[in-house]
Amino acid sequence: MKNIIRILCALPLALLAGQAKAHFVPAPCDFITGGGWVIANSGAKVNFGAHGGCKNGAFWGHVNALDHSTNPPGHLKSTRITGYLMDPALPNARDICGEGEVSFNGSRFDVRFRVRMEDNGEPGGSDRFGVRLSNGYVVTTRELGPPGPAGGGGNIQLHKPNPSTTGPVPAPSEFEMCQGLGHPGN
Amino acid sequence: MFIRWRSAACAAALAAAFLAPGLAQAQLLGGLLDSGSDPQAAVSGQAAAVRATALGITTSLADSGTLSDPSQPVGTGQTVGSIPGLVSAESLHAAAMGWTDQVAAEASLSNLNMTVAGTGITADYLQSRALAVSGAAGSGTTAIEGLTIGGVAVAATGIPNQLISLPGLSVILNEQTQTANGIVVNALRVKSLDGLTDVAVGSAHAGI
Repeated sequence: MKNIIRILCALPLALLAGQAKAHFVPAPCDFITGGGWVIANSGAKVNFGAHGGCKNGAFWGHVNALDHSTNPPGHLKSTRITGYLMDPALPNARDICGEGEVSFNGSRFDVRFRVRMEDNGEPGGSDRFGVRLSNGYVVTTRELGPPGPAGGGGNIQLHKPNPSTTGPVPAPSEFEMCQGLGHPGN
Repeated sequence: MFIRWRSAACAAALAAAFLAPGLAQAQLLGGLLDSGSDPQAAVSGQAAAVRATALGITTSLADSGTLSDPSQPVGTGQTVGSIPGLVSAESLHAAAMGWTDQVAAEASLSNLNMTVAGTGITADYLQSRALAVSGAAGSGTTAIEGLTIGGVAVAATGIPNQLISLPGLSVILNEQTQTANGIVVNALRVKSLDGLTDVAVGSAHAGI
């Protein structure tokens, strides 16, 4: 009897712990927009421009990013948005998942991507951006920071929902949206 | 007694498990949903990272297209874009979206390189945002970072319509123009005084 009670008590606590880590389509769904740049670990600029969200029962958006670590820079251009999700622990952040095309050193190849955009108010220095690609490339989520040699710049805006910002029903799981591609870090 | 205490704790844990998601969602709803709206309001909106007219020909880079229905947000992006001999930029992005009571539009780009009337203009990042809310005047904001004109760093004051006059050239930072139903915001507007070239960088329009 004691064991059964222990299990019953442990179950909801385990569910709560899992929930804290789960990412899901926000309800109500909304959208996020923004652009700017961050400084990669290499010291090079990574520029980005992106918008994403839910639109009439589907996901919507566009993502592009350039990493100046190489010359010419590596480019990411989205070709399809497959997910838009949030982490309840980070209510101002949204992840956009999708398929894209990378141009790098004269070659082109397809990847899956996951970007994280976080709106922490105006003017944007505290906003954050990160990107992870299925080929192992990652720029961990970091502040746009004050403009200048040591910092990035730009601005991200999380927009409120409207009647059209509905996602797919039923909402796909994080795995279905991002094909197992993890977020670029908190 | 021990089991009864455990049972009470268990019940509390179960209640927390089922209530927590609802609470979180309610907080989101309270924070994000707008109150009141005007279902009859007509919307208009458009954004473009660059819109340039040279010798009578108008060319846009990363143009979102026209927003005419709040349920159909529009947007686009380009990793790189250029109008040869005039302007090039990276990470161009433009989007416009509507609600029943307001419209927002946004355009941005990075690493701008532009030459107008022989003067070089560069910027790390430019962004414009336009917002039109039913029953109120339109409002706008811009972000202008790392701007140089003719190789000289220029600081944006943030005040709308900051005019910089140069030989053969007029430059306006944070250009804001009220329209009949909203506002047009250009992060940077450059015109040659001979009238041959007119470039709006980071252009956003919102109306309702």
